[in-house]
Amino acid sequence: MEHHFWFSSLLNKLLGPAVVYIGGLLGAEFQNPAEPIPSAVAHLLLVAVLLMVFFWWLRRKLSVESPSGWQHILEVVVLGVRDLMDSIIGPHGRKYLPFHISLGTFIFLSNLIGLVPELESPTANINVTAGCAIIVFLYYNWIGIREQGLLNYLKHFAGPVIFIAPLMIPVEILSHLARPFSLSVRLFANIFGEDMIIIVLTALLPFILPLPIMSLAIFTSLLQAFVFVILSIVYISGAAEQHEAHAH
Amino acid sequence: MRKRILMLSTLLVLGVLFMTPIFAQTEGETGGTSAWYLVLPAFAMALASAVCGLGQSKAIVAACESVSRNPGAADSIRFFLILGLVLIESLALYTLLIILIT
Repeated sequence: MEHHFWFSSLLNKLLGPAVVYIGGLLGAEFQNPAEPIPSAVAHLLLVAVLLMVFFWWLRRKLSVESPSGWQHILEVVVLGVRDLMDSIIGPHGRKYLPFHISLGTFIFLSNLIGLVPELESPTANINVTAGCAIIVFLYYNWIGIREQGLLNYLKHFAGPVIFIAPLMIPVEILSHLARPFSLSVRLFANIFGEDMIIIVLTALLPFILPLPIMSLAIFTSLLQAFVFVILSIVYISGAAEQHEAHAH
Repeated sequence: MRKRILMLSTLLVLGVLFMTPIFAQTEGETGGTSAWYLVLPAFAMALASAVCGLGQSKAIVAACESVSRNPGAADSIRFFLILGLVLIESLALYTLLIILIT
């Protein structure tokens, strides 16, 4: 359903010709040169800009003696994710904290923005969720290779004993490939399914019937962002195991 | 127990008897024109949601009982509960994804 959102039309009017020009230099062809930026990408950029402005504004107001309300909330979020990482990865995992907080707030805000009447969730598009999942996949593999070395990391695929390696390697590879698939499909189906339910209920009884589902959607937006971050932390802890005796 | 078995077998026989019009379908009625294809996604989704509900209920029961047994570990149990519920939920969502794609 090609609903034209005011924000993506605005962005296409402003940046459309530049994108078509740059795309022409790179050899890309657009299906509709009047609107080269898809609405999911436009809303993704909106979420990114909103987050950057919010964190920049909050950083200027940070203070130890008299913290503001938003500082309290963000402290709860940051300390909560940090304690979660400590319990799953260990204290040496603190360097992965900024990635997870930015991923979590990005996914949360982009899930939430779909509830605003004339905006669309970028995560209601499989391409955006697949992008987030692929980033997590590449990131945890890169961390594993960097922490343990390429050969040592690949040895984990062979299982505990070398004799069952021909059985374990396809199973391990398949389960590793299933991870970004399940991450992206989980987030996409949750958010897109919520949007579909809201659309159907709006068709039945416009301003009243969707309200309980929208309040549930706020909760599931938070939950899905939380679970995405938790699974990313668990995958990193599995990849960067620090030579302890692990039961595969 | 015997009464329950008798009732269920009666329902089964009646159900099979009511399904006999399905043999009246001719050979050419396959593909999107059959009326069953309208309700097939709904059946699949209903089955997936029902089994997902059963699985999640087992997880919730285990979590509630373990919290009541050991209230100090509530935070840790809550973490496992949320993680388990979301993983089970995603299985039902794979079915929804297939329905949305086709």
